[in-house]
Amino acid sequence: MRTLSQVLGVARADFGERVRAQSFSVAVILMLLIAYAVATGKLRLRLGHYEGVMNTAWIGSMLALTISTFVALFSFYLINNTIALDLRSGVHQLLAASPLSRRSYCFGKWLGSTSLLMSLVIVLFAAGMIVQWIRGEADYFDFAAVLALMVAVALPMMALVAAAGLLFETTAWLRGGAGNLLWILCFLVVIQVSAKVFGPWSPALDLSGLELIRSNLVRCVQAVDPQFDGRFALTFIAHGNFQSIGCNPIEWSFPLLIQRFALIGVSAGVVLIAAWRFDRFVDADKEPVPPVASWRKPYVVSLLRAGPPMKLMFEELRLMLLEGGTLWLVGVSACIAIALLVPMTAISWVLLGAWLLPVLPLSRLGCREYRHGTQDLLMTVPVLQLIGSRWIAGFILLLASATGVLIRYAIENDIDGIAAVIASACFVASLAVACGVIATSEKMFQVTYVALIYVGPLNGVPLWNFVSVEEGDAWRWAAYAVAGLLMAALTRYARRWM
Amino acid sequence: MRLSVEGITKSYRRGSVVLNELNLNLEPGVAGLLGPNGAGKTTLMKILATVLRPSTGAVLWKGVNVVDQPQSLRRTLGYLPQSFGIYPHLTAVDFLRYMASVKLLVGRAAHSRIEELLSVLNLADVKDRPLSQYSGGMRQRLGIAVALLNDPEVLILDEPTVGLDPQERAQLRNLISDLSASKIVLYSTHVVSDLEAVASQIVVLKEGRLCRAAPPQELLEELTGKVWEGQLANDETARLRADWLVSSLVRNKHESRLRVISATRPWSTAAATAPSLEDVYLSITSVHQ
Repeated sequence: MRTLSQVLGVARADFGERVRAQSFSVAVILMLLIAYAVATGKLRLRLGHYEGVMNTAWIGSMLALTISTFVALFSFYLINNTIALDLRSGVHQLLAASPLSRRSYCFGKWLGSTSLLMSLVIVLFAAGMIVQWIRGEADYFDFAAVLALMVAVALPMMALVAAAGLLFETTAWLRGGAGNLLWILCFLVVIQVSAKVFGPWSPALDLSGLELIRSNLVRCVQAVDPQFDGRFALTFIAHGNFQSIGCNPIEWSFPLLIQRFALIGVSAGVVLIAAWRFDRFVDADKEPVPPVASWRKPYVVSLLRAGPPMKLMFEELRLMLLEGGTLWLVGVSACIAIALLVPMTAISWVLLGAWLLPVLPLSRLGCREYRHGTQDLLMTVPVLQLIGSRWIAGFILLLASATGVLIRYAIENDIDGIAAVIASACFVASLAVACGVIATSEKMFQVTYVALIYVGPLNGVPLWNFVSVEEGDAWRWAAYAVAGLLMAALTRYARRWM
Repeated sequence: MRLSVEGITKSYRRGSVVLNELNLNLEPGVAGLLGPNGAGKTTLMKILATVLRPSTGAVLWKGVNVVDQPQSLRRTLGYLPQSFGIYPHLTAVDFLRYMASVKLLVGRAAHSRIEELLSVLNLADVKDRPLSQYSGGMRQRLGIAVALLNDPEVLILDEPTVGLDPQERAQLRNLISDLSASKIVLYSTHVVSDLEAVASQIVVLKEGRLCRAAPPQELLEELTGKVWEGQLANDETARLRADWLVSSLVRNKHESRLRVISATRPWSTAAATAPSLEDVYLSITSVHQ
């Protein structure tokens, strides 16, 4: 009983603290934007040549699919600092000296994070109900269908994301930037494998619930078109002729619900692993002098002694190379070798790899002083000089990372390709500086960059695909370059007010 | 009821030894922990609070080694770290309710204890305000409330008076004095005068070693007849400061008023005076230099 009280106490405090944080408000706004995209028909769910009538089943399916793919992927970044919150705030010392067990703490944090993510789900579904009312295509609202989707599809997925967040936090090398980047890879692999392995056997056991929703929708279409091959897409593309169909909600049975809830058990297993790995903040302050302090002096000294703008830029570049380390050099060498060997059709993937190499130093580009607590010491450096030198340093680092791709384009005499790489580097460097300056932390760039990669290169949305080079793309590359430079210019003003 | 430290050493990989073969017995009453910066006070307190593991040695609580079985002490421990954090968006009641559940205090018992502590620590009027709006002193009082929530048998307070105004400091001293009859209180501070009225034992650490552990009366008696006060011309003051341990100096236009610790009369007009705990502390730490 008292252990349960501990778990609930940790969950309530965690939820209460984080639900009032700025990042949660941003997430709620994103949920409302998704609902708006659904309401205005910008985000559509299509099955071959069919599109559903906007009834509860259809809107619910669209929202559940959005949660299983987009929301689940990015909400991770909202909750993957739940233990860090206690470390950063200093509450960890009070907890370490209490009788709180590792398991109670981890389960409490899991419950808190799951509640936080589920409140986003509720916002999204509530907005979905309003959407249905606005669209007025179906006058009957099936509350039970929506509730079932929230509880049986979204809840197991969100519980799993919350558990993964804890596991990442309790694993030293997955904490911070590396974990932020690896999450997207883990997510995509796990979702794909789960759909491929469990989907054909029992759709309910597919972690994301994607197969469960897909099989129900496919059944709806096959009722009117038995030849339908099962293709479906959640898309922003509006054009094309589509035939409307009416769709029924998923018919939930007891065994189906049991299978879905069993997935919460899987998440609980992941939490147990996290609890086993968790150090319970004992020896959290391992050294009397925090390692970050050793960074401060050389960092500030190197910047203050830099003097002229070019020298300042070289100091920034030197710091980034130090942060990138040997791993970056190995990666660049590998990219050069691969770029020279692969066919030209695969070169955009090499460029994507090259753009991922410097992501950690890039994410610190606009906010390194906040990381090391030296922001007040750098107030004497002119804003334009500081932002400009950082932008150029980031741009050079990106071009250096893409050396292999540039060499290949030069060999192929592909001027468009070289121009595209330069414009893309311009855009990414600007994004890095802007995110760092505005958020004063590394996470915003890491999340935005991952989101862009997910939407553009990985899902092939043309507007955001900043690594592919195709004929007639000149306008896109020019737009990237202009957007980048505009962002860098605006950052200068943002920095002045911070 | 006894908390014993037996041969505790804490060293780090880089080779620095923060605590060196420390032995100490703590019994009900207030043990004032003194020592210069870097002496190992906070490290000792963290080890006793089970927040840090020692490299070697044992901490015995009711016959159980706390290093191996920390839960035996944690259930009955109150700890106020030197610097601790709060959740800025929660209110004092929310935060105390959270810490109460963590300390296995539930239901009506938790509610009445929280109300009692908020009242005793003068936080009742601001209990529904977000903690981000609290001043340093209010936060410190909240930390003390957290430490006292579970009515602990062992209370570890690392610089509890930081950020408190003189009135709050006096109130805290009285509260600790009231509590000390039935509890072991380890109280670390740089303000030696805070301990004068409450401490039943003074523990002095320096460079990770125990310099002295004794009741204050015993330490004061040892120094009786060795503390001198008097006026001296300013030009002679500089010479004297090099030769004697000066515990206080008030400089006027031509003369200075000095308080000196010395086994013999330092100058002819100097008069013997009653020693204070600050004199004791200076005397002990300078002897070990």
